[in-house]
Order: sequence, then structure tokens, then C-alpha cells
Amino acid sequence: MPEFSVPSLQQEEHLLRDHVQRLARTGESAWAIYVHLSRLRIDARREPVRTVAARPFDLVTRDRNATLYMLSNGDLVLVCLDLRIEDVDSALDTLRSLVIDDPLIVEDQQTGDDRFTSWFDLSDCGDIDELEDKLSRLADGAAPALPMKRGQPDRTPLKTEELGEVERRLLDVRVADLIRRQPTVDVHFPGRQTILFREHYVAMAELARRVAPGADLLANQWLFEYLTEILDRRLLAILGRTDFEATEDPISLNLHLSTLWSPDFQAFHQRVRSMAEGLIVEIRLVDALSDVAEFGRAREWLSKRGYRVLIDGVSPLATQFLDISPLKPHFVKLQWSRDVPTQRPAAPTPELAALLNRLGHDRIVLSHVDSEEAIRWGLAFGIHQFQGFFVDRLVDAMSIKGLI
Amino acid sequence: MIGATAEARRAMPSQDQLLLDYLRHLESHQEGRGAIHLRLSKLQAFNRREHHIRAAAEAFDNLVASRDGQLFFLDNGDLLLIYALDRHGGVETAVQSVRYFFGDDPLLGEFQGGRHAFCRWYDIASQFEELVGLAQGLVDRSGPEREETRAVGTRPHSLQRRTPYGKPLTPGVLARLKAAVERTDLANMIRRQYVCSLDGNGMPAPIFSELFVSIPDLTETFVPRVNITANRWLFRHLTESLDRRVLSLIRGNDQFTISGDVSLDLNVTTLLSTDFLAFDEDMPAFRRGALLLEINIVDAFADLRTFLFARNFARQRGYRICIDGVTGETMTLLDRERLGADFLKLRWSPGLAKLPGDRCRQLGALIGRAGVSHVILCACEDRQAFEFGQSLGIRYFQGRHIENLIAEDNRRRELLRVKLRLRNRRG
Repeated sequence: MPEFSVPSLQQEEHLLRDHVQRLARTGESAWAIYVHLSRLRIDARREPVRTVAARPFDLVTRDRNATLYMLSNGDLVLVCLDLRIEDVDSALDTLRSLVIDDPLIVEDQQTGDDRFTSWFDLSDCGDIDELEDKLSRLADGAAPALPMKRGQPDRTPLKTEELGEVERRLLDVRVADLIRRQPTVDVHFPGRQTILFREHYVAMAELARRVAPGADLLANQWLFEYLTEILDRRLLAILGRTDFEATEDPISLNLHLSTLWSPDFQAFHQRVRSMAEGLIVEIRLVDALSDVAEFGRAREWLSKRGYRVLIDGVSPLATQFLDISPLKPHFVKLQWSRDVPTQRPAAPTPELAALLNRLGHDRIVLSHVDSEEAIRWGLAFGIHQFQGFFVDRLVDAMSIKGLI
Repeated sequence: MIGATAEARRAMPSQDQLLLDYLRHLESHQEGRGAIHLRLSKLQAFNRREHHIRAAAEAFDNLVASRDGQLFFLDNGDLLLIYALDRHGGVETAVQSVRYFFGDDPLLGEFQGGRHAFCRWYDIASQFEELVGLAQGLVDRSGPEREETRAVGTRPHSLQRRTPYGKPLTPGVLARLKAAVERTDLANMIRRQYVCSLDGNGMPAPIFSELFVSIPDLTETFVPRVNITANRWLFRHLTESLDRRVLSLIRGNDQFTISGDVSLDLNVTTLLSTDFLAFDEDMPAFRRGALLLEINIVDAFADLRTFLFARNFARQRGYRICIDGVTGETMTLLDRERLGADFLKLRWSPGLAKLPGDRCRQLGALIGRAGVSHVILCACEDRQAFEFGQSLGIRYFQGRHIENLIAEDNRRRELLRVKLRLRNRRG
């Protein structure tokens, strides 16, 4: 499991600042390269990503002609005294090749920009000021922290020894009041028809507080899958008791493949089978990949009985490496995040555009929409179905106005 | 040490044997009992996955819990329940739900000699001898097969496709097992299985060998009678500890790597751990190319960005990457070159041989696109697997059949050497 350690509080920033100031006083000719790792999507504060990223500079720092500083936000600064540019370039190239897939790097290669490195002449007052300014902001903690890829930094990852107890609580704890209904809207249709379906899910943050306070359930993917497998059954039991006749909009449920073969799903199916057309089963991509044949069988079984199948958790990045159209889903949830590069001008990556065309835009939902930017991006791709907190606000506003 | 373990393994009774013993015990208590034999082994292959069998077994949970029924997971994949006749109604309901489950399977509509092909009911009092005959027949037949089941267990850690043997892993047991793995020397449990190409004469030529922890050995040593692969998520979590232990065993210990190129199963998180960094530092640069890192496709896509970083790092250091856990169906989704994998491990299953012609051709085309020298057909249990692979142009194979070929080849060479020695002596 990745270990998360934050270096001693801004110590490196102070050391670097002192070094720069000393150089300014002695007038020694020196220069600094600032490597903006914090601008990338990978979290460079994490060990051992930090160490791996610093490695390429081992050679140049060995002879003491350069010193490397590893800042608290993941950035690196190389202060060079007597070095050839070729040596530094070689180290930078090695580092770049590690992160070659990052959108920033990709874009820079296309535009010829370099937002990855900044060069400072330490014999120039203007440059020195600029560098110091940057460092003070970091030392004061003013620099925005990159969101963690997974989990929450203020909680400890769930330990294996704790899993049993969490499972026991999960089986017991009250869950019904944690069920949320998040709509997916289709912007092609006004008013009532706007809502395509409502996803019924359990609010995980609140649930985590009840069953594992202080623990980060998301930190370990496999333990998370195990627990949500158990949660599936509880959700089915609760929803099986719901009066679906009263529900107007179709419903979607996120389930594991393995849950579909359980007696709990069987019982649920018995109760809701007459309304299967109003039900969408969401299966996450990672789950489908663990047994593609099984997914195919599940899809057949479900669609023969009137259910529709949705593949959840598909990142635009994944579509560059995987063609999911052979899976023949009724819907695909493409997952928005700030990871997704903003294109100038809006032009789809070839694979993504091809996928959208193959599947048909009516099958695509852009999920995790948290901003207007996300919607604009989606619209530029021809996507017209959206889900997310930002969408919730729009729906609420429309409801208040009586438009929905 | 290996011999001793095999001995221990042979000594453990199978469920078939347990059934026979149980029936003998019932000889004097035949009244009021019935049996139902669910012939899951006759279902289509894709209906016989582990979780299907478990799901079917779950239908009888109540009966077993209240001790009104005794459930046997037979070696051939069937289920047999012996129950108290006054619970017949409950058993019928359970069987109904199992039948519903497998409703799409053609077997459910079949009859043999006036009886359902899928489920056979017995009244023990009037059909005792018949049932004993059935059980005895199973034991007799499965004798030699059991040796094979043991050998099957020497496959690299992968979900067992045979009947589940044992209780599913629970979090408590997992925690104990993980702790045990982390503090024990697992050197005795490391196994090696070769990936080979076959020359014109059908003789195996090893390309590299996969080092892995024997799951049966691990199970029997620490958690006997528990099925640790039953839940794929808990098992994946366990492999994070297993792969670190293998790394530390191999690090600085030449005995494993001296005989040629080697592959290891690794999780992405392990690849980016300080354990791997330390391992990497000890590894001279010229040796890195001899190490192939096998990463499961589910692991890669669980956090694709981290996988890409790890992959770039590994390749930069000179290691090669193999994507594991690929099936015929998965192949339709993948692009090996885009993924940056040097190899794909395609898993053989008997279902592949039954693919209709056009699907077969499609798979052949996919393999061609991935590159025939970049695809390894693993889990080749028998000749059929090997022939199928060859027909699609695959060049590299791994599995029990290959191990057998190697053993045969070694025997042949030994024989030749002996003959040569004899000839020299005489001459």
C-alpha cells in the first residue's frame, strides 16, 4: 500500500531559501531549475514516488556541483553551480519520460511550451526575487495542495485487522437513511423528461463515519470492494421493500458482478421483475474486467429480463487503452475529473471520439460533474447526459421553479 | 521437504471419501433421510464457476446450519445433500431456486431414463445401495484425478477453477494469514513454472520461469481447510503481502535467478513501494532485463494513472512488463502496445476450444495484432490447450502440460546419457 509521508514542515523550503540567499551574497554564478511536479496529476508528495522522481538527479548531485531540494508540495529544485546543461537536460528527460502520459506534458509537447520546468539565474536579482517569492508562499502553506488520488489524508487507511469489525458493523448498522437518489439528466429534453434515471446509492462518507470512524475506507481498493460487496446486499434488501410503483423515474443501482449470483439478488429480482424496464444495473469497469465472460453472461441474463446494464467508472484515460464497446452496455458512465485535459480548442482525443461514435451518444453519461467546466467539456464531445453534484444543484433549482 | 508435503496432501480425505464414510455411518440409521444430487458437473462450463457453485450451496445454508442437512462438495463439482425427510419441503424450495439460477442451461430441460438430468432425488431407506454405489464410484474414479488436483494446485496463484474446497476466507482469518505471511520464511513454498516455446520436434525450450508462492502449501501450512481464493478482493489484498515476501526472498539470493530469466507477480502498489526500490537497488543493471514483472489487468485499471507511472518507471529501469489475467474475451478490449506491455498472458480454458469458427478466427486476429511473440498461453493443462494455442499462432506456453513435456524431455535426455555411458563402457 502506498505510504503517505509529509516531509518535515517546509524545512526544505527554508534550507533552499538560505542557500539562495548565500549565493546571492557571495556572487557565485549559479542557476536553479524548478521542476513543477505539483502541476502533474500524479501525487509527487507520496513516497516512494518522491524518491523515484528524485533519482534521475543522483548523477548530477553526486559530485556536489548541484544540490537537490524536495519541497513539501512535491516540487523539486535543483541548484546548480558548475554543471553542463547537457547533464541537467539528460536528468530532466529521464524524469519527463516517467510522466510522459501526463496531460500537461502531452500538451506542452504539442504547443512547445514548458510548464514543467522554470529556470532561474541566481546572479540576477529579478530571478532571485521571483524564486524567493515562490518559496515564501510555499513555506506559508499558501500553495494549494493537489487533491489526493485516493482517500482522505486526515484519516488512516483501513487496516486488515480492522476489516472484520467493520464488516460486522456494516451488517448491523442503519443504512436506510443514508440512501441518496442522484439523478442523471438529459439536456436534450426539457421539463419532466429531463430526468433519465436516479441512481440509488449509499452515502459513503457518512457510512464510513458509522462503521469505521477515523479510518479511510477508500485507501485500499480491494478492501473497499470487499466491503461494498457486502453493502450491495443491504441495499438490495432495503430497496426490495420499496414500493416501485410509486417511483416515476427509472432507478439505477451499483452492484458487483458477484452480487448478481447471490440469493439476495434473486429475492430482489422476484420482487421487482415486473418493473425490470425501469431498472438499470450499474457495474464498475474494474469489476467487469475481472471476468469479462462473466460480465457478458450477466448482461445477457439481465437484458433478457428487461433490465438495462450500465458500465460505471470509465475514465477518459482508460478509453485510450481499452475499447469497451464489445461489452455492449446499454449505458456507459464516463467519469469526469479535473484530470481530464481541457483542450484548446475543444477537440476529442481520437479514441474517445471513436468510442462515443461506436456506442452512440445516447448511451453516454458524464458523471462526477462538479462544475460548469465539466458540462461544457461534455457538450463539446456531443455528450448530453450528465450526473453529479453540480447537476443536483441545477435539478433542485428547476424543481423549485416548477420546471421539473 | 516437497516430498513430505505431498505425503501430507495425499493423507487428507476428499469430500467423496467423506460422503462414503458418512453413508456407511448411516447404514444403521437409514430411515427418515433423503438425498439430493445436484449434477453441476454436467452444466455448461461457464455455469460452473466457483461463485455459481457457492451460490447454489448457499441455498442450503439454513438446513446445514440447523443440522438437518449435510452438504458435500464432490470432487467432480457436484453437490450432494443428505437431509432429514421432514425438511423435504425446504429442500425442494432450495432446489427450485437453484434450478431457477441455472435456468438458461440446456441441462435443466434434459431427462435421462425418466429422471431429471440435473438433480436426482434419493430416499435413503429404499435406495441405500444405489447411493453407496454412486459414492463408491466417485471415490474410485477420482483417485487418480485427485493427484491431478494436487498438481493443479501448483499453478501460479490464480483463481482455482475446480470445486471450492474449504470455507471461504473471512477478514479475521485473512488478518492472521497476512500477519503469518509477513513474518515467515516462505522459501519452501516458492515454486517455479516454465514458459516455453516448442521447437520443430515438439521439444520444450524454456524462455523464462515464473516464481510464485504455492497456494495449496500456503493454505495447508497456515489456514487448512480454508479457500483463500474464494473472494477475489480479499485474495488480491493478500497478494500484496505475498509479492513483497517473494521480492525479499529473491533479493540478494541468486539461487532463484541464476538459472535464467524469471518473472514475478507484482501489484502496482508493490512496484511503487520502498521494498521494490530496495530490491531494484540491489539488482545490477544488466540483470534487470532478465526480470519480467507480471501485473494483473484488474490491478492496472484500478488506478490507471499510477499503473502508467509504475510501468514507465519499471521499463526505464530495464524490466519487462507482462499483463496477466487476460482471457479470450478480454483480448477483444485490449491493445497490448498502447498498454506498454512486453507480454500478455492469455489464460487457457476448455471453453476456448468450443468457440465457434468466427469467434476463433477473431481471437486469432487479436493475437496477431498483439504479436504472436508477445502472447503467452498459460494454464495449459493438457494437449488440447497446447494444440489450440498453436492453431492460433501462439508461440509461448505455460502450464501443467508443458511441465510434463519438460519432465519427459529430461527423462529422455537422461536415458540417452545412460545409453551413451553404457556404449562407452562396452566399447
